[in-house]
Amino acid sequence: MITISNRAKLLFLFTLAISYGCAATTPSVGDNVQYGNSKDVEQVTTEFGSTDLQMIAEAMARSLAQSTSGNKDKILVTIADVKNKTDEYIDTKSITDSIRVQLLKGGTMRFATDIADMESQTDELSRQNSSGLYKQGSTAKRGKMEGAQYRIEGNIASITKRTENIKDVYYKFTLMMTNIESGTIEWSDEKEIRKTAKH
Amino acid sequence: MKKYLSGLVLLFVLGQSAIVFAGPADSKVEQLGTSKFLEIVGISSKITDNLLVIHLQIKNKDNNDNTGFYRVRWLDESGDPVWEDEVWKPLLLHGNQKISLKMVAPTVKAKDFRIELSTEENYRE
Repeated sequence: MITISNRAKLLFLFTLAISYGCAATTPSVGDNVQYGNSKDVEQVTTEFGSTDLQMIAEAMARSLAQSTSGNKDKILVTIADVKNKTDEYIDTKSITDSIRVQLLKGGTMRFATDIADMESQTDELSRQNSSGLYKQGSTAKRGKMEGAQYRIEGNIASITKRTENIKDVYYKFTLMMTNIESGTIEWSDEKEIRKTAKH
Repeated sequence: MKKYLSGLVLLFVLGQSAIVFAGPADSKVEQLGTSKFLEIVGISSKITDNLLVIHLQIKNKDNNDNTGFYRVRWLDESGDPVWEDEVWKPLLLHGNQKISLKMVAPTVKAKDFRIELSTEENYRE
């Protein structure tokens, strides 16, 4: 026989079971951290942020792609340094990495090994050809690397103004593509960003 | 002779760029809520050198500055996405200002598009 107090106990256990059941359906541990959308506009501070990096990479990649989309053959380019002329730390390699990813995915350009990755490229070639560990005919041959026709490089600069109540930061990212053989600049573009914070 | 030459010029122009869309914005815009003050007043697209290029005009109907966010979804002929989500881009329009934006597709696979627009003064229906 189920008394009123037993019914109350059953109801409590039922509610508890449902609560645990609901919690168990979420594949997460803890609730102290919240994941956000990586494409949302970050407006936390005026310092260089994820949205700035993404907007610059997108603008430069699209402009570069448009400049060569009429070509019959995909040009072979290499990426050199982007100089950081601002007074804050900016990982400019991360910006050029994003530009390269977008252009490769878009299929508008081909990329030769850049200076930063050249050591690992030549190390691998030497390992395959000089170590004696690899089967003959299966190794990547020396002297087959393609030289880039164009070099991409640039810089990022900033101007910061402060008053007691306002901080204003202006960023200018400039990129250019040079014909390596002739030394002529074939393409250049810039992206400007202004961020203002009121205290 | 003159007619023949102008025909050649027209053929050359059409060969370089083909108009894909020029019409009411409603079918190409997806608003997150209903914008009170920022309105897309013109939209057109054409394929230039194999890449889809969009021209967009946005107007601020308010006397005060207004902020919005936008991005493009690039689609193929059947409406399937051909590119990952773009970053949302902030937009500041001064009172009664009208601006033009140009957006270039990241890949030649893009044949259609949708513009996502979100404004701070939106109210949801």
